Amino acid sequence: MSEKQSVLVVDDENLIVYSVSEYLAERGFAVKATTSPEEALSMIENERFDVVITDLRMIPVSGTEIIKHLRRSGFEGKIIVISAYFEEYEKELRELKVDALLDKPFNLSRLLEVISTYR
Amino acid sequence: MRLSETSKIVFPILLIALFVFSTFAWVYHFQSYQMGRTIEAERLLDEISEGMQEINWTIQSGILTHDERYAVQSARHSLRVFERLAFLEKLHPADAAAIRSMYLDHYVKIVSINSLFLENRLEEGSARLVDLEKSYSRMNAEMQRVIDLQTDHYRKVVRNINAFMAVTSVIFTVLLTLIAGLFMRYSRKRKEAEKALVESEKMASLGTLSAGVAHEIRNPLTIILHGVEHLEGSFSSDSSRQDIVKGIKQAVLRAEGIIKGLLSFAQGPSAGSEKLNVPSVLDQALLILGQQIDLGNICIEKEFLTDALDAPGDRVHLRQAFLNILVNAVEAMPGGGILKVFCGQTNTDSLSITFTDTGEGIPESEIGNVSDPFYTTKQKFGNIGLGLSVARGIIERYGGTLKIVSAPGKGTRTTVTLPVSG
Repeated sequence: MSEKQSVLVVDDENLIVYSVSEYLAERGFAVKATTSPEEALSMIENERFDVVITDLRMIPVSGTEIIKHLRRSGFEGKIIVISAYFEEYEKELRELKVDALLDKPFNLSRLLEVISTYR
Repeated sequence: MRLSETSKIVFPILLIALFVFSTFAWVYHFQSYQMGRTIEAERLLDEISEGMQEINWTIQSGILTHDERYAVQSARHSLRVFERLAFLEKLHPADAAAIRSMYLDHYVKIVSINSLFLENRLEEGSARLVDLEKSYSRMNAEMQRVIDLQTDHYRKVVRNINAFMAVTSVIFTVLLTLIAGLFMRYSRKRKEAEKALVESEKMASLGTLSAGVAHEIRNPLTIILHGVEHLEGSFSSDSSRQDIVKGIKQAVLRAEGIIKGLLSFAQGPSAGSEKLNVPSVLDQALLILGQQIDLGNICIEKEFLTDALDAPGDRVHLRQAFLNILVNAVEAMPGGGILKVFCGQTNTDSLSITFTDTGEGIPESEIGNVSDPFYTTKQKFGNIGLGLSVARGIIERYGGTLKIVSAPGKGTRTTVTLPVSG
């Protein structure tokens, strides 16, 4: 039997975090979610995730900082970036080599399709 | 550096004034110089004239003749003069006495003379020997020479002044034309540069604003979309609520389309452009228009001269541009009216698409502002005035133009031209 894929959802919009995590949890994923990017950093330190879904423009820690932290800590899972405006982070994202970019507003079904390819 | 409006006027006037002043200063200097020479010549003439008078006086007064040893031989007198004591007083007392003596003793004793010399010995003893005949003719010749010189000189002066004035007039006209041309060119260039600067500033602020707006609107759109996706599972597939859910999803996508259009307008050209059939793009825009807003009592009249009208562009962009113009036209007719959409090839190089409404119209003073970002006359909440600004940006990006003709109460005609696809 296959173990549930663990997913971390990080976004400073409470309702987005809620809808994404509910949607994935209903579909058999082990989901942890936070609206605090700082809390996300400590969760990454202490737990193992297969997939990290993160927003980019967040205060005080941006999504790119979270991805850099993941890369430094030897994270081997997949990184999906969800953002309303990628352009300002375009250069950093090219260097960080994330696995998927989803423009907001994205369909939850599309997110599921992407994650399903990582099973 | 930007010149103020005052200096724009003062600068060329100063230049022209300086030029006119230097021209007149030059003419004045030239004439003064000639005047000086004239005065000098007149003084010379006066001198000659005096000299002649002296000779005449001497001749009229009497001629003393003498032999080669300068002994006075004769005196052809003039009684009038010889009677003048002053004349005799000017001579050496010995001569005066001799003349007096000759006059008195011999009266007039004319002897043959070899030459016509006059020797004046003045009181102090200095002597002057004058060859009257030669002096007279020499002076005559000198006077004639001076008069000829002066005549020539004056002719030259007149010729020079005429030539000078002709050349000056030509130079003046050429310079004035050049200055006026340069000024107009400078003025036009400056206006173009200022316009370009204002446009680029507008575009820069629009770019920054668009990014912020995109971020702030896309998050709530995501929430709406996700919320709907969660809810739609709870309805049966044939429920009428499914239609509501579908409608909400479409509205989200339309809002996202507007944001994309705004971002692409603010951020530069699209990645590619294709050969588009303009009538079909117009049809799509009209279709979306009907879904997007209530047309009420508005009657739409289409006139496409032919269906084979192609222009280069991005379908989504052009459709958005047409839609924005159509929405503007419809919103200008709240009580209903007629919206005519025409599409045809007006010349070999371009297509013309006109949107004519019978709405409120725009005052002439505001026509220049209507396609500025955020300009709006609509008080309805939600109108932020980006429609025509985005439309113009898209049309111009594909090499077209957008022009608006309007009058209050008579409606508005928006004319779009697009280059024909090769």
